[in-house]
Amino acid sequence: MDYNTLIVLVGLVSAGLLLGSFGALVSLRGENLTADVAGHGVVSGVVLSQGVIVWFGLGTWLAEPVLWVLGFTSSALILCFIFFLRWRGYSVGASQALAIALAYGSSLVLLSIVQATGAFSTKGLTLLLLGDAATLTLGKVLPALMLLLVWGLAFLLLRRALHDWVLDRHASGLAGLQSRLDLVWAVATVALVLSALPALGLTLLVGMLTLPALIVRPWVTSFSGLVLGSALIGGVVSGLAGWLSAGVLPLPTGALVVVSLGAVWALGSLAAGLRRKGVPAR
Amino acid sequence: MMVLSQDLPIVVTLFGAAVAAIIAGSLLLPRGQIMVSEASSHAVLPGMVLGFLLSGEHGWLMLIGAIAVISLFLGLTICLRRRHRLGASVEIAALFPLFFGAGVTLLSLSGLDDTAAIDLDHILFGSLELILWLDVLSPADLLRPGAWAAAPDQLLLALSGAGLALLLALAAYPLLNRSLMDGQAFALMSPVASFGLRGLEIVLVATASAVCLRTAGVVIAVALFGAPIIGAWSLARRLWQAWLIAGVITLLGLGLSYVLSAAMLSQFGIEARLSGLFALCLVALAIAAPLATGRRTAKRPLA
Repeated sequence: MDYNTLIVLVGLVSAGLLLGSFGALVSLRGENLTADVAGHGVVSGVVLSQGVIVWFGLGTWLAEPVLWVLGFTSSALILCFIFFLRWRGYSVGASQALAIALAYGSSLVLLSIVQATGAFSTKGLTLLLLGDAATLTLGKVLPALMLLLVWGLAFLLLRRALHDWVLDRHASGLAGLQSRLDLVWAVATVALVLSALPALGLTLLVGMLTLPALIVRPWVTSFSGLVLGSALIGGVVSGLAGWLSAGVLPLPTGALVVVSLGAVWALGSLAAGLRRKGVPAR
Repeated sequence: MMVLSQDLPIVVTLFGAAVAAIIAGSLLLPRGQIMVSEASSHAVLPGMVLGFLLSGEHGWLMLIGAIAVISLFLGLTICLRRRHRLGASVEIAALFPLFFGAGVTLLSLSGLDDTAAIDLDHILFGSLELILWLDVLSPADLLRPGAWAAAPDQLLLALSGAGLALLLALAAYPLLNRSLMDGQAFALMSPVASFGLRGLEIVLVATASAVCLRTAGVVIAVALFGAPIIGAWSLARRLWQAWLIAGVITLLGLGLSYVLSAAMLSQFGIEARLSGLFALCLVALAIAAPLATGRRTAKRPLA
């Protein structure tokens, strides 16, 4: 296996582990589409970062940090917009719909402004939406690896608090942790989206957040089982699909990962259905 | 100043797409399913690719493929929600990346990703600025049948979609109104009536999604489905009032985006994408609508 393939596989497996496990929490809270909207919020920051690099004549080595800072900021602003609308009495769906329209609209207007300086094209945006795992480098993979480490430690230390936060909001509120964990969740969502963006793209990323938890759900009975099982499924399927995409099946990696997860979900649901009916699952 | 051959087709196309989207959005919003619009705009991809592969052109078969796939997506969403109770909108989040992934895979397998036949860029961001009606140079030209024969495809498609949506929605208005305003009455409907109503809703939403995407792109489709009707629901008491107010919000949004576009061009020399400005104006108006009338909350709860 050559170095580039190894980096792509490491990137995909870490993204799978990260998104799978975090997605279990997101799915239990029913906030998958909020994460999707937050992901779309990143785009305007990414577009603006391209302009900032050109307008201020910054060195190319600053491109990645500026992209992270502005992507993080724009996505956080979109999340704040969602929470503001909810606070104003808008429903979850209505606040998400308005926020995603705002994210798309601002991205396109900013793109027009940045394009006037010739710094970016809509092709770049399409790449953001679709992802391009084949071009992963160690620099792009490192943030996901670091986040995986932090998330793993946080889960080990805060397992009980996280359990209450998603499944027993009353207990979490009594412990005074709810608002703090809400804030951590918002920050973590944005960081996660940014770290997994190069590999999977925005549209397929939400599939990685949702499908592993759905695959594991019929087979586990505990919170920890769901989170760890989702991480395992996410990591294994991503790695396998990445390996297939690198050689056997020359198809777009992100799409192959999501379609493979879909196939596992369908088979798993079928097997779970048979098990419920009393037929032993094979 | 507005140029008829350039701006009129854009305005008419957007308003036609808006009529279809407003009707569909009004059915989704009170059920808490408004994000179906964003999801179906991505889920549509395999239908468009299959339609193109079968016909070899960007014609009606591509539109039918889009409507069929969105209908399938909506049907699966309803089925999963009823049978598995996965959680709020989890079924939407699970299905639309799958459909989109299947579309990207199909594009790659068919070799179309290396050609410009299905341009994702065009689907996502639209190309309103390319809608031209060169046969119309003065208002009198609108009365010439020859001018309509040469009208842009997007304009005709948007008007057809709007006409169909209006026709179906008006024909089933009492049923739709009752099902949205009185959930208990809807639960007491006969299974056949309930099934028929769900089928009609799927047709309306799928047609509106496909028409919006083919004419204006994902950005506009997402904005048109959500923003006008969200603004309108906070002011309206009845379904038809919501449709009318949403139409007014759309027209105001169009006017405002044209003014902003002209201002940006004259002041900064920047030609801003109309679709982006339109989406931003719609969001601003949707939020401003209840504030402008001094209402702090919606008249109807947005489920």
